[in-house]
Parts: sequence; C-alpha cells; structure tokens
Amino acid sequence: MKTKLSFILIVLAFLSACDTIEQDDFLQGGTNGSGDTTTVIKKILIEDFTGFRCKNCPDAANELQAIENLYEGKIVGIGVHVGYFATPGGDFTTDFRTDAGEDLDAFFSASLSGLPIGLVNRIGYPNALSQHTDWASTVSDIINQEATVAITISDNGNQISVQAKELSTISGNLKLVVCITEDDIIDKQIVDNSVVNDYEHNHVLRTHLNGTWGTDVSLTNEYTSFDFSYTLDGSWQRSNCHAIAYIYNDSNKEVLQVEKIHLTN
Amino acid sequence: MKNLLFVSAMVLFTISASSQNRTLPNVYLKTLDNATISSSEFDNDGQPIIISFWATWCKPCIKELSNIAEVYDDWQDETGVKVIAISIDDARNMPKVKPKVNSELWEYEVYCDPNGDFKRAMGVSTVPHTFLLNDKKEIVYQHTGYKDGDEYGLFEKVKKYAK
Amino acid sequence: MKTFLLLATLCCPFLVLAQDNSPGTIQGDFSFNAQTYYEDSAINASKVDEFMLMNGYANILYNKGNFTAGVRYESYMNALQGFDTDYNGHGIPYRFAQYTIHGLDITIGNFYEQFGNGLIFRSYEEKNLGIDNVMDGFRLKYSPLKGLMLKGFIAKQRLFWEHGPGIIRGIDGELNLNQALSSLENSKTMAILGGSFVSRFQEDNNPVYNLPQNVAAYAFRTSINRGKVSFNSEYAYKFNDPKGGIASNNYAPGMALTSNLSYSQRGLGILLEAHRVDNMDYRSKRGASLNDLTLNYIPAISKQHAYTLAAFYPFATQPMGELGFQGQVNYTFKKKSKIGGKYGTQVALNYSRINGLNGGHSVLTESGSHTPMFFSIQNEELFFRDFNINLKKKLSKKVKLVANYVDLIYNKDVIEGKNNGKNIHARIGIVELNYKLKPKHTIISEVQYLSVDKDDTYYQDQGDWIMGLVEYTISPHWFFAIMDQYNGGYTSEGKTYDAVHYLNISCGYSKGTNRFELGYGKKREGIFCVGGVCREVPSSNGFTLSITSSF
Repeated sequence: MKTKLSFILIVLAFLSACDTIEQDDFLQGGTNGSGDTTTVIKKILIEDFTGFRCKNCPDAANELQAIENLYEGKIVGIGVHVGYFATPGGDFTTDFRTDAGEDLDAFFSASLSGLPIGLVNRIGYPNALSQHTDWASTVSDIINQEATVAITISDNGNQISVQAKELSTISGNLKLVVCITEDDIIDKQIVDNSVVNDYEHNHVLRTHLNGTWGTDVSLTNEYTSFDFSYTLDGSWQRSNCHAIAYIYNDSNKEVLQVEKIHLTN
Repeated sequence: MKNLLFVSAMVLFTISASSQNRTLPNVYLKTLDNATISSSEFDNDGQPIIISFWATWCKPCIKELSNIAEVYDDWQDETGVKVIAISIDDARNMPKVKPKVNSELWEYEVYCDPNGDFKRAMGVSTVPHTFLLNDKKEIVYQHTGYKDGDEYGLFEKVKKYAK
Repeated sequence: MKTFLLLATLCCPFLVLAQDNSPGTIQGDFSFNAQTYYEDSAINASKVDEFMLMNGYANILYNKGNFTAGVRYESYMNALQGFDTDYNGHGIPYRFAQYTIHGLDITIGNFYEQFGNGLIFRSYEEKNLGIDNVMDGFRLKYSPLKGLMLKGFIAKQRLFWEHGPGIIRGIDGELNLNQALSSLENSKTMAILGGSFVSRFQEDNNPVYNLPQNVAAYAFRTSINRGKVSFNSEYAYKFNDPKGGIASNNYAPGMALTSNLSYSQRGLGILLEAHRVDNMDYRSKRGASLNDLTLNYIPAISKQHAYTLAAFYPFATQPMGELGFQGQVNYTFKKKSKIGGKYGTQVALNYSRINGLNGGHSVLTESGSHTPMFFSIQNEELFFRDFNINLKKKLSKKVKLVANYVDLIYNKDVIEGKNNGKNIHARIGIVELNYKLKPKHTIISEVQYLSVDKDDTYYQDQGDWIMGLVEYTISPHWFFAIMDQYNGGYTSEGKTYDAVHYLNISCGYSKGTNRFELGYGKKREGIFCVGGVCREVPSSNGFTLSITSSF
C-alpha cells in the first residue's frame, strides 16, 4: 500500500514538473552586462567554427552577432572556416580556410564534432567546444570577472603594435596571438537548404601574423610592446579588416584577454 | 579509481560462483499483440527449448529460422522441442514482425524485445544468437551466427537433452 | 567512490541473506573491433597517426535469485573512424545493481528504458552506431495488480564519458484491460492502454530570454487487437523547449502522432502506417545536436534495407518535422500452387513516402508564430520515397533465389545536411542465389546494381554502382567471402572521379559463441544506419579484425 501511495505522490509531483512560458514573457526585462568602465575590462573571445556549405552555421553567426550587440564592446568574434563545409567546389569557389584555422580545427576537433560549434575564451580545454546556444550563458557567467591582462593595439599601416601588461600575477606560460579578420564579405552560403548568393560573412579569419599558437610573452605590471609587420592579400578589403590580439595561458589554453582594432586606412 | 574498486568488489562478490548452469533471467517482453509477458513464463513441460534472437533486417537470422521451420515438425515429433524466436526489432520494425512471421509460415512462439532488455540480460551482442535450454530451463548450449547446415548440429544437441 | 559504497551497502544484505548457499551465476560477453588504415588516394582514404584504431567492450553480469549486478568496460583506443572522437579512452560507463522484491523491481545505477514507442523517452544502445544514451540514477518498476505495470525513474543521461546537465524524471503506466478486468478476460478484443510523462530540469542562465527550466512531455498510447486485425497508436506532446542562445528562440510546443493498422493471417500480412512529427527534438540538454543526449526516439517510417546497395541511401527520421506513410504487403504463394511452385514463393511489396510539414515545423517567438497544417502532402518538400518489391523462392532442394527491386528518391540536402541541389533518384536491382553443395557447404552469391538518374549530362551523386559477392560457408566453423563494389566514375562539382573498385576479402571462424573475423580491403564512405539513426563513415583501406564472444 505504501508503494502505491508513493507512486501516486510521485505522479502528482511530476505533473507539476513543467514550466510553460507565455509569449509576453519570453524576453527578460532590464539591461545586461553594463559594467563600470573605470578599470580595464575583461573582453571575451568567441571563435565560431563555420563553413559556407553548413546550413545551420548562419544560426551561430547570428548568435555571435547578437552576443556582440548585447555586450557591446566586450566581445571579440572570429569566424573560422574549416573542414568539409568550407572546402571549395562547384559553385562555391572562394576558399576561406586558413592554415591556422585548420590547425585549430584539428586541435579542438571542431569539424569532427559537427558544425556549427565554437569556443568561448577556450574555457574548459580539453572539452572546450560548445554549441552556439550555450555561448551567451557562458559569457554571462564570466563577463564580470576582473581582467588579469591589459592589451592595447595600434596599427601604422604595415605593422601592428601590441602593448600588454599583467594586472595580477599569473602562473603559467602566456602566449600572444595576433590575427586579421575581415567583415562584410559578400559570398555564397547555404541557409536552410538553399544557397544564398549574397550572404554577408563577418569576422572571417584571414591570417595569423605569428603562427597558429602565437609567441611566448612574459609580462610585467608595465606595458611591454610587441611588433608584427603584415601585408594584406590583394583580395581583402582593408577598410573591412580588423587586427585582433589575444593572450592565452598555455597550460589550460584559456584566453585571458583580447583586443581588437580597425586597421588604419 | 571508483570503477576499479567496484570491479574488484564484483569479482570478490562473485568469486565463489561456480559453474552452476544459468537459467533464464526474468525480463519483460512484448507479445505480437503488444501485451507484456515475462521471460520467466517460458515453458515447454520439461522438454528442451530453443531461444533464437533475430531481427526482420537480419538475413542470416531469417535463414536460420526458415531452415529450422522446414524441419520443425520432425524435430517436434522426435524430441518435443519448442522454438521461441525473440525479435530485437525496435519500434520502427516491430509492426512488421507479425506480418513477417505469418508470411514465413513460422509456427514458433515469437516475442519482441524492442529495447534490448532481454538481449542484454542474456549476453547477446549480435544476432543471430541461439540458446538451448534443458528440461530445467538451464542454458546448456549457445552459438552465435548462422551458416547453412548449423541446424543439424543444433538438433544433435537437442536430442541429447530431450527426455 | 560514492557509487561504490552505495552498491556495496546494497549488496551486503544479499551476501548475508544468501542462505540457500547457491553461489549465483556469472555471465558475460565481449566484443572487439580493430582496423588499420592506409593511405589510398584512389578512394580518398587517409591513414591515421595511430596506424590502428579499435573499439571494444565487455559486459559482466552477476545473478543470484532476485539480485542482478553488472558492469560494462568500454575501450576506444582510439575510436574507429566514423565514431565520435569524444569516445577516445576507456573506463566503466555502465554499472548497475537490481533486485526484485514482492513485485517491486529496483534498479540503481545505469539502466535502459523505453516508454511506449519511445516518442517521448527511449534510452538505448546501438554500439555499431556509437549510440549509448544510457541513464544513470534510480528506476522502479512495480505491478500492483495483474495487467498493470508502473515505471518511474530519476536519472541523468550519459554523454560519452560524462553526463548531460539535465535531470530527467519519468513515469509510465500500462494497463492491459483483459488481464486487469475479469469481465474482459475472455473477450475476443484485447485492449492495452498506456500513458507516460517525462520532464527535464536544466537551469536557466540565459542573459536575455526566460527559458523554461522544467521541460515536460507526455504521451498516450493504445493497442487494440481483434483476431487478425490489430491497431496501435501513440500521441505525444512536448511543452515549450527553446534551444537557448540569445539571437532567437522557438517556444513552440512539439507533437508526434503515430498509428499503424495491420491485418495478418497465415501467408498474408498487410500493414498500413502513418506518422506526423512536429518539433519533437527532445534531449537532456537544451539545444544539443547530432546524436548527443537524445531523450526520445521517433521510429523511421520506411523499410530498413538489408542489402548493401539498397541501404546506400537510408532515410533517417527528421524529428523537427515530417509527415510519412508506409504500406506493406507480405504474401506467400502456397506450396504446389501455380505461382508457388513446389516449395512456395514469398512476395513482399513495400511503399513509403515522407515529406516536410507545410511551411516547416511550428514556430513561436516573441515576434510571431507559424503552425503548419496538420495534413498536407501536395507541394511539400519530399524527403524520401521508396517503392520496393522482394521475392523469395526455393527453386529446388539445393537452390534458393531472392530477388529485390528498389526504386527510391532521396533528399540528400535534408537527410545529410549536404547540399546536392536535386533529389537523388536511384533504382536498385538485387539477385541472391544460395546453392547448397553438401548439407553443410553452401555458396551464396549476390549481384546488385544501383543506377541513378542523370541531371543535365552528369549522373547524380556518385553515379552508378555494381556489386558482386561470393560467400562460401562450411557449417559450423568457417566462412570465406569476396566482395567487390565498383563505381563507374562520376563528375561532381566540376571534378571528375575515376572508376574505382572496392575489393574486400574476409574469412571467419566460429565455434560456439566465439567468433573471429579477419578482413582486408577498401571500404567506401557511406552512411550506416540502424533504426533511422545514422553515422557517416569515411572511406578506408586496411585490415579489420573482429572478435566476439560470450559465456
């Protein structure tokens, strides 16, 4: 009899185990992530592994854009075109793949896990990959963390200059990566089973200036400067290009700080 | 670490287990009418039972059961053996089991194990997998796979255990 | 460690209570698959750094009276190509203890379970596909009265070597009216009713949207049999289950309805089946993808082909939305009849057709909504269509013939997510001959041909295939097989691919439950499916070794 009663209790408990949300309440009120600006802000790097043949990848690109908009100025996105879905062929003639992108793909097993997929500050390595639907939650968890590294970037037209310093003592070997991305590239993309000819590709990774894994840096509490000369490929629109610099901890691959500037015209 | 401990515990716990013959586990199956039946209800009045795991998409399984079907009458007359065919087809193919059995003109008892519960309890990893049970419903022989002619060897075993 | 203590505590009473002095029984099974990979540019196969890859596992079960405990050791060092590399490693992802007392069946640890057809809940394993979404928690089964079965569980779900974040709660009840009500005991009509409820808890930390933390689904089913006719149906409903993220979220509920009606008697079987699925992707983590953490299972509504080339273009259910039908007739021409011949002839016809929902699946967002028509076939996107006929005939005491013809249309964009533009239309012919040389010696030969339509001047997909197989079996121990799949070459996206042979030889030895199989050859890339769930396997060239055993 007791068992029967407990079954009935379980049934009743279960029937209440559902939340239905009304259409007016889908969105939360209020604003998010408006931190103070007096100190150095910790910015967050989101790497979006993508490809123009991947029909669900535009969802991830939209998500990245929405996160950038929500946390204005605090998010740096990179679209890394990799694997089968980025391989040219037939109508898809442009090759957006890069050596560094393929290295990252192999290292994090991104395209093996199915695209779209991404990394938020590469947190959680070796299980750092996360789906785009999880990025915003991860960002909201870490957005108010204190910055441990400060980076500033400048560009004189053919040389990127990165200044970086430690804000608190960090154990582990730090590495600095400098790369170039391009926005507003109009090219083909599959969206929901059909080919869109004039899709706008943003954050497209073009090249790393100092290799896939960057250069070792040792920081102090004063700014140290690192210079990287570069030349743009003729097919890239300088006015749409950005330089991105990020510093990560080699021991757990976690990105500590990232900064981005528009290339000077 | 906890896994290692657990395994050692299992080993210690079972170290005394002798070569006592396995009997049938008690697992719920579905009849062709979707009713629930327990494997402990399998019975053949003290005569041997053949339990054969099969699936509608498994060619050697169908071959085995069809070849036994051709000689099933003789087998039954001689030994009183009963064949119970366990289909491991899941919900996708389960509705096709009854028409398949009827079109093959099989006279077997057929039950469905759509989520592999009986399959797991019996230690079946691939189909076909055939068991022979003696009068006490203890597993006395089993083989996996099927090649034409395997039924002769099986019948030799059946005769050994028939009373 | 906790688990161990828990199990040890639970086991103790049984050690003490073991007064009948019977020591209980142990059983187990073992499976090992390994393959070497060589570079082969002709078929675009690559070598692997490890040289050899392997998947293996072993189950050990202990049983004594009403008590059962079991473990499974799994090892992927490293996982075979086509399996998720997240499996790489080894360990014991499956261990459980179970006992039954006065009709109450208690399982702690890992368990597999299915409610009804699985529309809202199915936890299962399909090792060949790398699927194992086993639950880890508590499960109770109880039958308070004859004909009534209740089940309940609370558990988390396995994801490779970890667990998904969701806590899953489920209950299911099934009532067999004829067994439960004495007045119906002798009724010719048999009726079974069932209902289930499943709910997932996952915390909401979305910065923009209010996401439901508890996402529930329920289902009702019935099964009615009267003589030769049977009817089965299940309806499932899932409450709002947005995937998360901040760009957009779909709060539409999901539903699935599946029904089948069959008539069957000796020598004749007729089956009609239909289902409609809308927004029924239900997982133990919001927004999980691929085959990860699936909570439910929508049975595919098409025939599962067994022959290699017929299974070349397999359909997989689209849980986000589809409408499908299937009909099948099995008929056996009697022995000594005109068509039946001396030994009888079996014929099976099967037709299935699946299309997308009107305007796509249900959508409900803060700015709008879409609800597809319940029933709409014309003008909807075709996902899959298959008509096939199968003939089986014994020609003489020594010779058996099987012939198959399959005509199918396959929407590669939808099913594989790869853009191909046009649906593939393939026709496949298959002839199999079994020739019994001696009572225990048999030769099996198969010839299969797959032909696809031409688009403009090019053949669709990979063009035409022909396959030949000769297998020689000696009961009870040996088999030898040689198989060749030949692709006549094709042009895709402006690139021309040469004709290529995929030659394979293999032999096997089995004794009792031990089975060894060694093979060498080329494997084509392809999609391998069981029950509508598929995995993609790249092409490869190398040796394979497979060993299975059970005791």
